[in-house]
Amino acid sequence: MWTYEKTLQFPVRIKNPNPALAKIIISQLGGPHGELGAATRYLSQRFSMPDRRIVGMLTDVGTEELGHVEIVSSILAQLTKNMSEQQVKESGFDVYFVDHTAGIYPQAASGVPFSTSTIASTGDVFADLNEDLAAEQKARVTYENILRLTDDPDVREPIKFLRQREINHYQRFAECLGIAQDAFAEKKNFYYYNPAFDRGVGLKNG
Amino acid sequence: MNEREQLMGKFRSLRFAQVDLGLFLDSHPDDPEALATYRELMREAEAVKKKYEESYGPLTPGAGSSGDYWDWVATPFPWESC
Repeated sequence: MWTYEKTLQFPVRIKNPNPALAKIIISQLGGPHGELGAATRYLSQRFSMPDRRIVGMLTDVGTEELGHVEIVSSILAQLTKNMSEQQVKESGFDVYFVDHTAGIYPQAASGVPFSTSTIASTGDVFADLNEDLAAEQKARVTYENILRLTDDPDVREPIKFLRQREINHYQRFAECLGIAQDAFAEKKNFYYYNPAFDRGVGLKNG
Repeated sequence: MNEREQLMGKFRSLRFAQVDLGLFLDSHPDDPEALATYRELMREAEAVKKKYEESYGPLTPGAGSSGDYWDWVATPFPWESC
C-alpha cells in the first residue's frame, strides 16, 4: 500500500521552455537507466529477498524512485509547456509531438518505449544486488551526461539532486550486499546456493 | 518567498532528511543515534505538514477535510508551479 503526498521531493520551477532538452531528459523517465525502470526493478526484486533489512531497503528506495519518476516528469512537463509550433519543429521535438503532443510518455531519448528488458529480477540476492549497484552507477552517468548538455540552472539543480541520490542508493545497496555476504560467510561458497529457492539456507532477519 | 513557500520548503527538507535517514536505518536498524534523530525528524515533519494543511490545503487526500468541497482537487499539483 502507498500513500501520496502532494509535493515533489525536490522542487522544479523551470522558467524557459526547451523541448530540445526535454528530448534528452526523457531518457531518465523511460530509458535504459531511467527512474521508472529503477522503481520497477526494486519493487519487484524485494519479494525474493531473504532478509528484512534488504526487503526494507528495496521497498524504501523503490518508493523514492517513484518520487523521482514524478520529478523527471515534472521537468519534462515544464520544459514543453507553452511551446510554439515553430519551437516544436526547430527543436526536433516534432518526432515525439506527432504521437504524444506534450503528453508524458515513458521512452528513451532514442524513441524506444520503456521496457522491462532494461531491468533484471533473478530471484538471487547476490545477482540482484549487484544489478542494483550497477543500475545506480549507470543512472549517475546518465545524469552527468545530461548536466554536460544543459547550462539552465532551473534544470541543473533538480538533476544534480537526482544524481546525488544515485550515489546514496549505491552506498545503501553496498551495505545490503555486505549483510547478505556476512550471513553466508560460514558457508564456503555462498554463490552455490540460491537463498530464494534452496531450502535451509535462508538468511536470518535483523 | 511567501509564507506558503517557506512552509513547503521546510516540510520538504524535513521529509527528505527523514527518507534519507530511513534508508540508513534499513541497513543499521540498531543505531541509537539514527533512531533518535529519525523520530525527531518525523515529529517535526508531521507538525509542519499539519500547519501547512491548515492554511493551504491537503498534502494527502482528505487531510483536514471540512466544508462543502473536496479540497484535494482545489489546490495545485506539485508540477504546476511554473
